[in-house]
Amino acid sequence: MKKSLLTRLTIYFIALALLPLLLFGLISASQTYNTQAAQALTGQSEVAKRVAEQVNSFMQLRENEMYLLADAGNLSSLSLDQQESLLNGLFANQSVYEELTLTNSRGRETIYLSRTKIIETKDLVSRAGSDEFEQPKNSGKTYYSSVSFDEATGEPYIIVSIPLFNLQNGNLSNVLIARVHFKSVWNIMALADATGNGIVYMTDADDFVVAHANPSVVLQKKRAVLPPQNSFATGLDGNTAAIAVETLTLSEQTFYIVAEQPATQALSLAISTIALTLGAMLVAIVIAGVLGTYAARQITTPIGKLAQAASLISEGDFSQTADVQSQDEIGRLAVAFNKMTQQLRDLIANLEARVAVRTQALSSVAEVSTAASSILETDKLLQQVVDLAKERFNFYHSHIYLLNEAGDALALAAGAGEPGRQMVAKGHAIPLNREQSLVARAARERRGVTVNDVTQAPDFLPNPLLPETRSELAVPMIVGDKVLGVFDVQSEVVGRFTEADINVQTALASQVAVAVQNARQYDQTQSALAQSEKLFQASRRLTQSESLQGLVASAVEALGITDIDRVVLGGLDYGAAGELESMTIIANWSKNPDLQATAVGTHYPQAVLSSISLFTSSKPLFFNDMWNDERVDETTKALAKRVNYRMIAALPLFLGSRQNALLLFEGAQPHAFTSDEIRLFNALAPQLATVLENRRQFERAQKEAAREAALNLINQKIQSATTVEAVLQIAARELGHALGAPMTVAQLSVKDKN
Amino acid sequence: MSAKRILILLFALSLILSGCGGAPNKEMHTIGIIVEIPWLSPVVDNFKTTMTELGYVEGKNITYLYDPNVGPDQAAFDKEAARLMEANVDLFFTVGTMTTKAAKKATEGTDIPVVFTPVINPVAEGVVESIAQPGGNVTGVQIVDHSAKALEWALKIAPDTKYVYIPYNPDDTITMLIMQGVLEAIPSLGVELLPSEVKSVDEMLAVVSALPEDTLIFVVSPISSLETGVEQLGQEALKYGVPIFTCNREINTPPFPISNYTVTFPGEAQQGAQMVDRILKGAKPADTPVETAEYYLDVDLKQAQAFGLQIPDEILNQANIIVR
Repeated sequence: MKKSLLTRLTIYFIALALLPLLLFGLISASQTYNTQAAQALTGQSEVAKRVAEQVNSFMQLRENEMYLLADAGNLSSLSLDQQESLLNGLFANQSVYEELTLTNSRGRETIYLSRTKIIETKDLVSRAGSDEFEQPKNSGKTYYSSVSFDEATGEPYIIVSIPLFNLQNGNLSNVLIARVHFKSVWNIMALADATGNGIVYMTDADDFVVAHANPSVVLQKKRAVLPPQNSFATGLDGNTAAIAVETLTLSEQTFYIVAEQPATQALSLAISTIALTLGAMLVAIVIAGVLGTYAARQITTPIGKLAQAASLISEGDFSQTADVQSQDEIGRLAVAFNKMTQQLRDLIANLEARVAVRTQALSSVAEVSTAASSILETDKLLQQVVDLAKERFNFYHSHIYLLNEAGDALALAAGAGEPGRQMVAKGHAIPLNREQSLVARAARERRGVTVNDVTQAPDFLPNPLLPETRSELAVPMIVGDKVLGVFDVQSEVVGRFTEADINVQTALASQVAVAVQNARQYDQTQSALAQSEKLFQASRRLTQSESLQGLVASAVEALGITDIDRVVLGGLDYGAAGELESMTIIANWSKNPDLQATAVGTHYPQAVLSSISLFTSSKPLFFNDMWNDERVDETTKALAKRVNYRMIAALPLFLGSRQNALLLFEGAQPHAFTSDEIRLFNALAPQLATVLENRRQFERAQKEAAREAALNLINQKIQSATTVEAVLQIAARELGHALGAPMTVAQLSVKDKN
Repeated sequence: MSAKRILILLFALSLILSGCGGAPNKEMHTIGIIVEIPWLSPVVDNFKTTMTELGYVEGKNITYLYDPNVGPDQAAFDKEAARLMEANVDLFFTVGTMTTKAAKKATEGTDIPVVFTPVINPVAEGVVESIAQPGGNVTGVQIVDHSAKALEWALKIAPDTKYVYIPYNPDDTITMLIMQGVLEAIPSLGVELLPSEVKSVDEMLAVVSALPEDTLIFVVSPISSLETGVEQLGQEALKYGVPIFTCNREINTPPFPISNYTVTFPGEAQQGAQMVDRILKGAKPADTPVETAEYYLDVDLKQAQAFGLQIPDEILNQANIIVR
């Protein structure tokens, strides 16, 4: 989770307050700890030594008592009663001695005294072989046993024995054996001047606690774990303690005096220092926290207000201001922030207004575009566009120029209002290369251009129909990479058009261009459909023609070109070698009886054909005006003038690869052949060739059949004659009739009459 | 945050820090005390004294529930123990074997500690499992009976003694426990035990006037059913010149013996109080070994003189208390 600035600053303040204190505290605590630990161990060591000396003194005292009793009383030389009486004196210190035994030199008990038991003579036994007898006997020194525990009480005791020697001969006379109660040593432990809550106890060589201020510890036969050297280690109660161990040697026995002080007490100063440091740190944390929070709030509160205001502003509430009254950097920041907010507020308000305008504009664009796209008639479409644009955009005027087919001029196609209609009616056009024309420049440069104060334009020509024009914007109407025209709008306000307007009107112009393109394509499609229909009808008429004359008439009717006045169909004749020999007019058509077409049967020899190029062209030729066409040779031109025709279309008809006829359409007036007309000509040519051939074949077959029928009739008539003269008369009459001869003479010659 | 609020916060902090030191233990403990024999009541006084020395101030952090008139039989002690249980005592301090058994019975199934002093042979009495590890909730100070040794001391003071009169009621359980050791020791002591089995104080006292010469009276304690006649027994002994000795009692108190070999009230009370202190501080009775009371030899020179006896120096040397 990211911490807030307030939290971070507070933490920094606390850290700043804490770190020096922490460092100081750590160093101080460390030094205090080391010092006190050393002092504690030293103190415990001193205690252990002191107690060891006390225990040692105690045991020495017992030893001395025994020696004193033996030596001073000359114990060995006394009778048993005297010895017993003397030994009873030791019981005066009854809390120390529990039993006293005197053996002879052989170890046999001679006296056995007990403070708790009744001893009879029969209870005396030999101690020979026991350590308490043999060791002092052999060493001549005091013997100390290990610590034992009484069965009835569980309390520890120790056997101390000393050798007694005959003063005369120096031989061992007796051994005095004492069972010493260790409870007295417990008292030493209890009274030991242990440091604070420290304890002192004594362990034997097996680490069993044999003396302790708390009897339970001893009676439990508790075992201590002593550290190899004075140190802080686990104490007898399981807690860490400063432990010092002092070795106490009594004869052959080794004991340990242990002084312990709980670590919590031994290191109390260090702990106090640490606690104080921690306490100081706690106080520092609180103070630093409070001060830090206060200081941080001084910083973060105004920032928070700023952040809150910024947040609300980011959510769209631009009425917010940061309420920061301080005169510091943050106050200045707040002032700047509020200024920025105000500017932002103004900017957004301005933007909103602009967006509204832009939205309105785009809405208008959409409306105009929609209207434009719904109209398929170009003129109507353009008029609708300019009218709507003027109205929706509140222009003074708007009009549309379309690039002509030649692509060299922009013709006014539609204009808003009456001025626009008048200008269209006048056929107003602007050459594309006119330098000073804003409209032409937009088309040339393919971008919107504007003049925001036409009165200042050096080459501005006032339009009397639009006298209020002060600013003008012309944007090209482009589809793909093709400029279709220019959309020109005018305003009576100076500086009316901005870059945004250019963009909006460019968008509108583009969409209008698309609509125009669509309308044109629609027109073309409709035209193609009409042409297809026309071709179909022409084909049907051609195939239904009953004669070559009818064929030619059907062709004229199918083309539907009213400027055609005459038509001739020339059949081409070829020589045996396949060379063109001549052309004979085999059918004709004329619209006007006054202007007859070349008569059927007119024969053009090869020489004439070769002089008139259009007769020999293998491709269709279309001349809008023969008289003024550079492609036409002079002979042909002269012929055209002589026969008075200017428009001509020469359509060679091929059957297979051979041209078999030529169809010439002639008109006295010039005629601009359209592409549709040319396509129709080209489409009809093969059909005409085929129909022509079929017709010619048919006519040829009809002629053959008629001749055969005539011959048969003549033959039948001749055979029906019964005389020679009749035969001759019939033959002459029928043949002459068949041949069209005005007079037929039949002569019969008799070679041998006689 | 205002400056005033900051100051309040700092002040509160200082109070918190100043309160970080340890607070005195103000826990109140309730100790139920049952004493088997009225003359053992000084043990209670000594116990309270030691407890006070250990920091337990009556009415402040400790309360003692003690009725000195309880007894004398087991049923009475059981009833008293039950009463104390109902009083929600934290610990029983019992003096005597029957009282300890009563407390043990009452606390059965609980962990309420019972600290006794003294009990003779507590293991044999079934009070604890062992000396070193008592187990359960009972521990205390035992007496290792030295009554026979006490008789030996008496015979050393009165060496001409041929007979001993040791009045006892065989119905007194504890007395019989002590008597067992004494009876076993008598043959080795060179004296003859006169008929000592009595059923009443009168019967006990009636014998005194008829005791033969060279007889001493030895009183073993406690002698529960005969207790009321102990003082008169001392008077009868003095009247008829029969030296009287005791064990396990107090010197200079009825029957005013010439010597007494005993544990001391202050000694056993101190031991008991220290054990109670350790247990109240957390030690478990089960792990608190039974401690043994110290025996002390007391002699009364005036009483000895009254009976025409001279206490040898050998005895005086060993005596812990000499009443002159």
